[in-house]
Amino acid sequence: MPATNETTLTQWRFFTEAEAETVDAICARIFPSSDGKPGARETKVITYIDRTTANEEEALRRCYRDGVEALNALTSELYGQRFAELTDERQDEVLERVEASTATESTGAPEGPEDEGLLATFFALVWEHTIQGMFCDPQYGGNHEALGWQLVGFPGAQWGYDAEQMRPGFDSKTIPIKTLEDLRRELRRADA
Amino acid sequence: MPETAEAVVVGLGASGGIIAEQLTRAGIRVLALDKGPVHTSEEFTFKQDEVKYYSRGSLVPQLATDPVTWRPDETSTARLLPWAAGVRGNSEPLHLPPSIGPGGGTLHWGGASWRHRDADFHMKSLIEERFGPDALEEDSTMVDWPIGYDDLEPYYDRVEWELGVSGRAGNVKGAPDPEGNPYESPRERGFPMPPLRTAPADDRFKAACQSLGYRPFQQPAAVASTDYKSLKGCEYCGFCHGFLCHVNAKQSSRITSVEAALQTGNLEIRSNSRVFRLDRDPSGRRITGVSYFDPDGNVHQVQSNLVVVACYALENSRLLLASGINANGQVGQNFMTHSFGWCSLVLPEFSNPFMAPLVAASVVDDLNCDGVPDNDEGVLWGSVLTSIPGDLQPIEAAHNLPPGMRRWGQGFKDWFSENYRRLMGIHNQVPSFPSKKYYCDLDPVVKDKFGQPALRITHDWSEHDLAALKYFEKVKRAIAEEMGATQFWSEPTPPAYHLSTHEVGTHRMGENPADSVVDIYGESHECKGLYVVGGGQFPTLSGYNPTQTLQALAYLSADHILDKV
Ligand SMILES: Cc1cc2nc3c(=O)[nH]c(=O)nc-3n(C[C@H](O)[C@H](O)[C@H](O)COP(=O)(O)OP(=O)(O)OC[C@H]3O[C@@H](n4cnc5c(N)ncnc54)[C@H](O)[C@@H]3O)c2cc1C
Ligand code: SF4
Repeated sequence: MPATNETTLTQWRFFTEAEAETVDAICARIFPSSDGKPGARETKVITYIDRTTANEEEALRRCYRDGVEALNALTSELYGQRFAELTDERQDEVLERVEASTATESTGAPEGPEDEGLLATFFALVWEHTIQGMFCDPQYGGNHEALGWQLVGFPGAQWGYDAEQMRPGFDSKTIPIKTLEDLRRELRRADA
Repeated sequence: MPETAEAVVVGLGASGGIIAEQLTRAGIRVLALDKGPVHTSEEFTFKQDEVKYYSRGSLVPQLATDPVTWRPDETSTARLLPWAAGVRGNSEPLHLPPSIGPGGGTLHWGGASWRHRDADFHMKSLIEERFGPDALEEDSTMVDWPIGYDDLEPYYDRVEWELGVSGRAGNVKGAPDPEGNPYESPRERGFPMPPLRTAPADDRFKAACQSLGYRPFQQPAAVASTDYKSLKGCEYCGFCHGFLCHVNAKQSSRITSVEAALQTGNLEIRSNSRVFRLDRDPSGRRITGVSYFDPDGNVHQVQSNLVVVACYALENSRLLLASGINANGQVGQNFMTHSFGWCSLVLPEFSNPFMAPLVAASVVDDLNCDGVPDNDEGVLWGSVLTSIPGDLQPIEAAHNLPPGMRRWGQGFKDWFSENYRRLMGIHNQVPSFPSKKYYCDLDPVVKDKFGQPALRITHDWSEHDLAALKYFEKVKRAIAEEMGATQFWSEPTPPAYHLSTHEVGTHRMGENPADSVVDIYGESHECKGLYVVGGGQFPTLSGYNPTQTLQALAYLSADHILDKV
């Protein structure tokens, strides 16, 4: 099932619809949102990954292509369903199994879908990109509306902090969050 | 007809920038070649971008264009640095060679600015006196420095006053100041700027250290606490270590020495120009110039009888080897680096670790150098212990989670949203000792896209490194407990990486041409007119960060060059 109506309408730059669905489902298990607080879906991590991957080198793109295929092959074999169709619990079990094979993770580019370390490398890659997509500057397509920064109390792109803000125990959620676009706007205004 | 230049400086980083400034001020026309780009002011202004600088490592050389390989020992096959290679992208941008382009490593360094102590110049003698002649392992190639602290003191002073370092002196001409470093060797005068404001959790660190009987003081920092010369006062933005500085508060040779050199009108910078060979006369005993690739791979030659190579300890030795300047076999030997001991704490109150530069913090120096107490663990030499209360963004923080915790799912999300704002770190760095076993040479297989051989590093952590890491782990754990930390963990030791950005020793300086590569001024014993400068000159590594010492050596080299011309 696609993530949201909005992502269904998005024109993917790299993923096929089916690939986006699988990757999005993994991201949502890394940063879930069932607690009502923003997770990978609300911050649009999948958009970040799609844009990033579109500009990346071939080895990385192949890791996504082959990784999605291998993951769905694994879940079809185990449960007769694609990864995105499994329940949350089942998805977690599969990811735990994939992660446990980290010992064989290869640091090089995977050799192909049959590569033993492929799934572990693929999951490690999706993990990296999920963290980036949660906490990047929103200009990269993730951290939508700075929801990732809000979640952890990071004020984002600031010119600096004053002595009062630097007091131990200061509640950083009281500092208005800024993005790079806000900084650009401030400078444009100052120039005007 | 190849072009000629009065002097060529290869690499405009920490040391090359200083030498370029000194020569151009004296009226010498310098052509500087740097393989990196000139970073634009747009990049400096909008550098609050963790994906660009941390995740993608946009300032540092990439393995695809600048391959470096590593193996733990001679029986293994070297691979591209396994901790940084692979499809996951550059998840270890801080364990590659430093940033490139005018400014070099000082573009994105942390700015911990240390003088060595007197003891650091006599490490070998002090260890042997204290622990016996057999204390160092059989393969040790450790030697004392050919110069001492007193020789460098005036040059340390120049770094602090010409480039700008903030801090509080502990020993001006022998007069102690309890607020400063109680262990520093005597200095002629204090710092030109007072210490920085400290990041939030530092107070707690300092109080805990004091109650444990240590004597914490503030980290001397190459970050301006007030406007000073071309530097502006720090704004504590916290995108510092690994990032460019948007206000020019962080001392970078790009804005200090390189800018001053440009203003003389005697410096020409050619960026994106990669030197691949040092050219010599037929006898091989005199430098005649350099050969370089422009970005399109075209070869150019510049003739000069004064060439300063300042490309960082690793590339310096690679260039010497690739040019065949290694008659005594010493180039690339004595590779040393720091094994970092990073640990993390969760504090009961908000520490807001994303504020302030890395160096807005206290340090404990009681256990450094020969100050390490007698111990059963076999620790021969100590390390500085540094509070790291700031400069931590969320992506980097997510890469250092408590061991055993699942790195994804609801538990991870809860933990990270609850604790990111309560993190802080304590750091120490164990200097590795020089040994016959640890060296760099040319990789027999791997080449860069211009067909030049990659540098191959053969290095593993020694028993001493492991013992010292373990020893300091206990010390940090005790401090964390005293601080009331609710969680404490250490990065896995020994570290998976073998580049700490504090690589030194690979073109050792010495008086005897048989067992060293350059003299105390950095001039090649083998090839006159060729200066090879930087941390590669160090006979031993200290528990302190290396840059202020290699900057001091650069001033020394420049004085010597100017005396001769
Ligand atoms: C993230 C980070 C944090 C650091 N923090 C600290 C700290 O807090 N305190 C400290 O003391 N040290 C720190 N360091 C280390 C510090 O950056 C180095 O010690 C210092 O920059 C080394 O100076 P250098 O002159 O030898 O070389 P660099 O400053 O590295 O300069 C080398 C220059 O040579 C150029 N170059 C390389 N190869 C070629 C070639 N073939 N042709 C032409 N040009 C070439 C490069 O582009 C670069 O500009 C840090 C380093 C890093 C990476
Ligand atoms: S913390 Fe200070 S020195 Fe560091 S980048 Fe920000 S303003 Fe510059």
